[in-house]
Amino acid sequence: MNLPFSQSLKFLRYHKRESLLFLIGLFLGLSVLGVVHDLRVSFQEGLNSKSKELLGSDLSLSSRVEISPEKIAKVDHYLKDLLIEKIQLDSFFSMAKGEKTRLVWVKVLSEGFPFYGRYKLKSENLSLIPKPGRVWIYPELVTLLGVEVGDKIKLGGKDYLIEDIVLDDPSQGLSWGSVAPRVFFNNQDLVLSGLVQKGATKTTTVFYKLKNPISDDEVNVLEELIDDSAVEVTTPLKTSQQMARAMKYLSDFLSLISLVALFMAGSGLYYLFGHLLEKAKTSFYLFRLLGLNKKQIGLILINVVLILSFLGSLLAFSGTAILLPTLKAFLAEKLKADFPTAITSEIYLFFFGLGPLFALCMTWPTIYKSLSESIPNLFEEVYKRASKSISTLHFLPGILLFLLLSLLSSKSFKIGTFFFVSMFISSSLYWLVFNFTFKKIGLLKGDQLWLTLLSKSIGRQYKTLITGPVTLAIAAMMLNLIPQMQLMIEQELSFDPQSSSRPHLFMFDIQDEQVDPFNQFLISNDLVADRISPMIRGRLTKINDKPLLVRSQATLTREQERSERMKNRGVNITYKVKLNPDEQLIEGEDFRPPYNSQNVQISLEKNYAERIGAQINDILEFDILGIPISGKVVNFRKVKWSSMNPNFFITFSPGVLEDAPKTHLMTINKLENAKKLDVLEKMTEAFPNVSAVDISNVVEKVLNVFSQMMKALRFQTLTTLLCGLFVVFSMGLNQAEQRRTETSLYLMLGVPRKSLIIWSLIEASVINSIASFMGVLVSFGLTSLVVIFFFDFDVQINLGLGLIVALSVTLLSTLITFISQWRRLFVPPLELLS
Amino acid sequence: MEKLGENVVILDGKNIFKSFFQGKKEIPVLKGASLHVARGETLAIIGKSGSGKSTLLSLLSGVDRPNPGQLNFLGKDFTTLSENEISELRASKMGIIFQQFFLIPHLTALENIQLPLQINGKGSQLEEAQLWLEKVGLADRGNHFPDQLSGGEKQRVAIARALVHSPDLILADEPSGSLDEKTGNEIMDLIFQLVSEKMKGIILVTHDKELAARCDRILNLENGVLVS
Repeated sequence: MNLPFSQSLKFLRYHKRESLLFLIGLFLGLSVLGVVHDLRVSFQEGLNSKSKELLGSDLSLSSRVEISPEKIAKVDHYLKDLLIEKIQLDSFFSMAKGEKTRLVWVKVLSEGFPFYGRYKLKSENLSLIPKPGRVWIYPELVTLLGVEVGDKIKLGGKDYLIEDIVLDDPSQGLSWGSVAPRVFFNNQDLVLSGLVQKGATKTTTVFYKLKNPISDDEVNVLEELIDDSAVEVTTPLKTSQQMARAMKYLSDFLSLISLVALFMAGSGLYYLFGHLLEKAKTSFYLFRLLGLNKKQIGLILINVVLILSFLGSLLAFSGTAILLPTLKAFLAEKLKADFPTAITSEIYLFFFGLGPLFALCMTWPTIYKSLSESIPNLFEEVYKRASKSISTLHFLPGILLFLLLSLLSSKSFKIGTFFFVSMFISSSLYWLVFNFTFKKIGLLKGDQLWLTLLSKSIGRQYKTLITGPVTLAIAAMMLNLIPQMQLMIEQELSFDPQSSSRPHLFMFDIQDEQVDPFNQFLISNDLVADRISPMIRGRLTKINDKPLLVRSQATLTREQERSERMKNRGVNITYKVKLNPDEQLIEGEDFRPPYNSQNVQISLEKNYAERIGAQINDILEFDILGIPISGKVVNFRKVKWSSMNPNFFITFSPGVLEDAPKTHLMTINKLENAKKLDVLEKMTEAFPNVSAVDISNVVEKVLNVFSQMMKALRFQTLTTLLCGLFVVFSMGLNQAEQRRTETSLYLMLGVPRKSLIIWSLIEASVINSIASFMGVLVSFGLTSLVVIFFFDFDVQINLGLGLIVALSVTLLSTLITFISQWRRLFVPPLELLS
Repeated sequence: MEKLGENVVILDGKNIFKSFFQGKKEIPVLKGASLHVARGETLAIIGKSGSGKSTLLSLLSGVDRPNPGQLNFLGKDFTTLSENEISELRASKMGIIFQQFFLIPHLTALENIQLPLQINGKGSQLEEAQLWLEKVGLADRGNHFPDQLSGGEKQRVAIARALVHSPDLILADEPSGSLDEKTGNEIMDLIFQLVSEKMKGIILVTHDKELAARCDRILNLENGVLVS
């Protein structure tokens, strides 16, 4: 066995306690991140494996506007050798009326479709589609509409019998709950139903069954043939990736929090290894004196880290392997999703690649320090141990790794960078504040012995103690951050029936000629529309004469994905003279007369403008039902989306689109619940084509999903607390060892043991409370930044919650510190001196 | 290598100066010390506390460098060698015995003795180490760690470690200084016996005149120079 490797094994054999703590630290840091990573990969695999059932076909063309027959013919011609079957179907919003009235999403089915997958019905009937005159419904509509199988519901003015309930819909990837639950409808009923009128919000899809799967290159060819950004070409894989988007957001944030835990554990590893090398310093001086060179000693230390990290990774992997199948089974049940593989193959690389790399980055500064120090004169009676401060350069590998992992975990340059910078700044802030504070505590003087000893203890040892408070502060910060954000967002979105600032009902698909009658209807029910907005469907085709259609094989970040989606989809356009109250002009100028087709002015929502890369004074060309219309961008505005009012990314000046085919949106604010239900029922009777969204339902659904996500994130932040406590515990153990002689001397000098215990508790609670409160304080600032920067909401801090978090973390960490000091505080002095 | 009479000189130091700085103040410790040791010769260096003995030892072991001065070990000028070269020389040609023993705490007695052999890449490490364990009377303590040994036992292990790889020169810094009289005498007897057996040169640093008298030559370190 070579010398460095054998020496590293012997080194570990002797330093069992520190080795075990190192393993635990790595286990804590790696395992949670590994679980999140594996779940994400597995979930996507699950969706991919049933992607054909998700799409129901091998290929689809879908659009919110009519797809021209010529374009379909081009596709048919291109696919002629592959084509087995083709079908065109619609899906759209409608009001459904049973005992109660509710917005639903009507999915039209036809014989032979879906090509793949089958609906699982409550009756266990093997039919592929409902019979004419009948419908299938989603289970939640039983309660929402107050109906059962055998009852009738009204859709578009006609009654349809509920034939069955769909228990499992293969085209739904994830069950979060839906704003508009689905109703399945026979294609034969569509024409007579009158449900689909011009301008209605519908999606037309052409589904293809092919002999072979279609490649990405062939998809690109099809997109070029169609040459229409409003038509989306979808393959099964793309469908599964789109379905996974919501889950991806959640898993990205879970990853980020796990990353915090990982780096907190890493700071623990840095401390532990540094402490270990400090303890073993003389041994390494002797090695050098006996003739080992720096390279060999470096190899010994690196081997020690690699062996420990391999074992730690193995431990984390084993824990994950045991936990994952159970966790996946639970999530599969809860989310109605598939998590096929027990452990994904990527996890091996994750644990056994990242684990050692991470451990090396964290311990490198102390390794370098150990190697670069000169050997002291061991011949002196009391030789001076060299103590060199570590250059910041050697922390760079760890810092860069953290940045890289932040970007990879979030898949967003903006979020990843924000996260990294926040963590870096907050950690540095804690470090500076604690350095200052503990130094100042060291200057405290008083008559009381405990105060004198406390101040000397903290003031003289703080440099070695700083890691614990910093990690504790980070834990407190994370524990307060998520609930504070949740409260702020829930506060912003919460629905007050008495408030008139937010719509209660949001109606759409109101035809041009229905506007006046609809207004009359409202008046007759003692209501007035608070906002009426025309809506025209179109697509953005050019910016400054350059065609816009974007197709990329792979997009790197979330921002790039969003940008491509924004460019490639059809748009809703409105026109008006002035901004709404919930809009704010941030760049450019308001619309100015004359308002005519020679002076077409365009206002863009600022984030949308950023995503499509538009600037003030750019000329945008739109295709509005085949007619190209160009206009100049004159301003950017900010929209308060949480107002739930109808707002548009694109607003035209008046005098241009009045004659374009359009529908209208209307909102009614301040509406009592009973009246709302009554109005909905009457409206459905009088205007069967008009759909309405009960905003309180939407908010409830959104908050429900949001709350589930927050629950997951809050649970995840507990791992940061665990890592923080681990660091505190490790430091406590080492402190106990270092202060054994001190403690036994106090006891020998006659200090009561009770006093020692109390002093120890006071010291721990002072340090831990400073850390916890500091962490909570910083989290207030960070939460505010996140809410302003990412959500554009008002900031409302809950001080009470922050106080509870700070006190809880203080108490828990003080208890842990006390337990770690147990041996020192409760063992007889003679034993301590031996 | 220089010969002194019939003996080969293995260490030759001439006009060794060494000073340290305390703040801006320069404190000279060695002011032109000179010495030589031949193969098989025992040389004692005595001096009061603070006379510069530990500084001299650090220079002779290559841990520090004279400023200025000449120091040749086995024909090689220490002052021109790199740190790695000095390490190699120390590993193969020198053995050091400290007053405070300085065993590697995480290695057993046997492993401590094996270490110089492993560093030098020599074969039959276990047998050789076992032999030396027996020579120092600790055949049954090989698997014990240093914190399980008494002071005398630790020093015996240190002696074995210093001699196992057959170095040309031993530097012994107050080897019995941390031991009681009886144990100390036993240790010194052991050292002299082994050194004589193996024809090693030894520089023994001590404040004990009786102990120094057991050596072939005695040098006094006074005022930064070595005098007979």
